Amino acid sequence: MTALEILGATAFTATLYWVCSAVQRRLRLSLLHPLLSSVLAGGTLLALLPPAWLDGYVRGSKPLLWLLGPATAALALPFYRKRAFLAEHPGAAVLAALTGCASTVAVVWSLGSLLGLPPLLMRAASLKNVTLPVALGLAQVIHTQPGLTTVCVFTSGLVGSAIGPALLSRIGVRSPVARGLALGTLSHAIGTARALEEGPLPGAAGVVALTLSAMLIGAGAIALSLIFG
Amino acid sequence: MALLRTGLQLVVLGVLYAGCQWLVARTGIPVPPGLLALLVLIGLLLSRAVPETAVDRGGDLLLRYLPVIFLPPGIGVIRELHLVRGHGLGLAAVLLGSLVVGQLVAGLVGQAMANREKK
Repeated sequence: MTALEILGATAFTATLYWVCSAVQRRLRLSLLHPLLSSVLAGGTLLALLPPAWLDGYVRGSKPLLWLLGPATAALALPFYRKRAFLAEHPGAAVLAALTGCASTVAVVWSLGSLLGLPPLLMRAASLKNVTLPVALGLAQVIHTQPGLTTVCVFTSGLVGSAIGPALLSRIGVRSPVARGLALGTLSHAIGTARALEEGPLPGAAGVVALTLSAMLIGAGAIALSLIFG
Repeated sequence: MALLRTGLQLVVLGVLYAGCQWLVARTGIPVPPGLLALLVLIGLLLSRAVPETAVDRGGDLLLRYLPVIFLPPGIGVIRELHLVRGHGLGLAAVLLGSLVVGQLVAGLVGQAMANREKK
């Protein structure tokens, strides 16, 4: 890892995100999330260049990636600020997150086995509803790929926040608390941003749910890695 | 002054994470250091051992630019595309099916519990 690689990778990443954010602001398409468009544009560009460029980018982005650790710790702040919600709705928050996580992981493994998906893909899909900084840490614990995990987490966030509100209305879930909890549990920060559009109460529920889901899936993943190695 | 405070808070968060990295490496516990740092900071804030004002500026700055930090692993997916070959549709079905079921369950359970807690 040379200084040039670090400088190049950091400048490339920041410029790419800045350009994609500007395009999203101009076009105002919610599915064109700057993160998704940056990954698609950056991935396509590096795939077209000689492989040495991608290797250099991966090496040079290591210091930037290290910041993911302190940033994960910083997630304590939004949770701490919304602690009053947890004190008012402890049962709803914990049980919605617990049943939401358990049912989604159960469907991943049952449907995945039925369709013959390799365990590596099912492990990545099991982390899809965990906020990305925690999911990337857990990917190492359960031996799956960070890139695949990122794609699964994006998909759950973008698709869940797009179809979730209509889906919840259709089955009669009108409680603002429950709607925020469902969006935060399954679609983490992107779903929480969508819940916030419905009001401050669903937004607070989303923040609490995304943190609880990260802890619950994290506890499950760690327990399984201790049992199976 | 504000810049210095933000910088110092970033150092505090970095030291917290580095401490958790050291602990995980030393003990061999299979916990991601980032998740451990998150739990430790929640504990410190809730117990009021650390005031919110000691980490708020640095923490909010990191959270604001979090998507930029996600780009390298996201772009790295092009190295892993061969793993999905032949399973793309299956993976899409699993992601969509599990997402819908999870959202329905969390929503219905959340609503039932919220109604009980209101009474």
